[in-house]
Amino acid sequence: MNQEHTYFQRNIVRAFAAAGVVWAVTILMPDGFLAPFRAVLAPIAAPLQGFVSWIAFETGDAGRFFSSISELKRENDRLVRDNQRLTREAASLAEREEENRLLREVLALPRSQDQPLLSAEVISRDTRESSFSFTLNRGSLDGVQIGFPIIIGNGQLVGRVASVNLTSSTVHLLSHPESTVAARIAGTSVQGVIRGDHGLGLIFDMVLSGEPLNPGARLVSSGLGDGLPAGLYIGEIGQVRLSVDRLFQQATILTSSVESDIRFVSIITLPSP
Amino acid sequence: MSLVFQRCLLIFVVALVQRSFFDILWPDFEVPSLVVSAIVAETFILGFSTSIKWVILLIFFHSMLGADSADSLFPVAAVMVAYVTSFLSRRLRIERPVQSSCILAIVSAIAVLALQLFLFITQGIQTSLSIVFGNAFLALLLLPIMFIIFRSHDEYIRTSLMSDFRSLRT
Repeated sequence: MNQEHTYFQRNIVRAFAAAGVVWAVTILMPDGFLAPFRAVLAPIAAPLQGFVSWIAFETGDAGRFFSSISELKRENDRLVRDNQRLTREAASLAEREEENRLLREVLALPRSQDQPLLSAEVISRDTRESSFSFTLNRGSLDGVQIGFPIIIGNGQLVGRVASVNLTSSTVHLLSHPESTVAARIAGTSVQGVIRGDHGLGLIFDMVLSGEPLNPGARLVSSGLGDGLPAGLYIGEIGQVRLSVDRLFQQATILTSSVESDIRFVSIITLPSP
Repeated sequence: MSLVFQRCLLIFVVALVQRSFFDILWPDFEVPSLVVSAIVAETFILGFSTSIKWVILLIFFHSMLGADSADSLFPVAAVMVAYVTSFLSRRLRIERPVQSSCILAIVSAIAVLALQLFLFITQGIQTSLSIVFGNAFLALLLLPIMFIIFRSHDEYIRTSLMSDFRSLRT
């Protein structure tokens, strides 16, 4: 009995010592302390992560397919309606694009849409709520640099590259606590800042209280000061409210994407400054 | 391939599968149930003092393969899970493999629930009950698999060492 007591005393000392060492390494060490280890490990792990994440995505897709067969018909009807609407919009946009091209030729302005894109796939995710981020299978060998914007299929801005390894890179989503993006309402001069809402989505903040802020208005990046190109679509205005000090307006942002479902993205490879 | 390297590789694969498979398949599950199951299985097989270095290596790989720097208290909690598993395995003195697997699986599921509570207390992370219990159920299913894998590798190590020893004697 006494021997057993000593065994557990010794082990609990070891447990606390080990927990203390791990805690010290993870909490107290300065930012970037673990970066060299990650720099070595990331290129080795990236191909394996790519393969395993592909299996995960395909498994998830198969699971969703089988669980949603009953919803397929309704979904199909909705898609047909969407398709008809988008066809009309595409025709209208083609007309406007031609008009825009002619006007730009007249004014001799550069086109803002022709940004070089690099496609990438999510290979791992960090699910802890304090870090809304994921890892992509593109790194510095592909020309990726810190700060490059990340967009998804419909051109919606979802985040920026936060760190880069040789063959992979980490993306902080717009909802990340450290992320702020200067934005404006498309077609107006109403400006503000987009930031995360404590894990509940995105907020359009710091909008002067007199400015018109209407639900449904489209938000785009303003390109002011944060290195992002102007005009990247972010989402639509949801509910509007006043800030706590009542000096500014805030609005929730409705986005068409679910962050956890993102698999393929495009990296806008900005020219070096 | 050396036995130590094999063990490192096995642990690396566990961390990688957690990050690139389970975290992608179930992004709402805050507690890495595969890692927790591996810690419980490893500690039960090897005992606390032998398994602790592998547990720390597993936590290290798990942090390295994540998108952000290790910034949560999960590593500390994981070490405590290893200690509690060791404590319970000594106390319960499980002899029968089926019983021991069942009890271990329950320990693993309870560890996931406890870690979720720990995250809630220390970081205020709230998750719906269905997700929490879903994650615990996943740990319940994964534990036998982890147990079989680590046990098989442990047996393989023992066999290799014994054959080396015999060849030394002859």
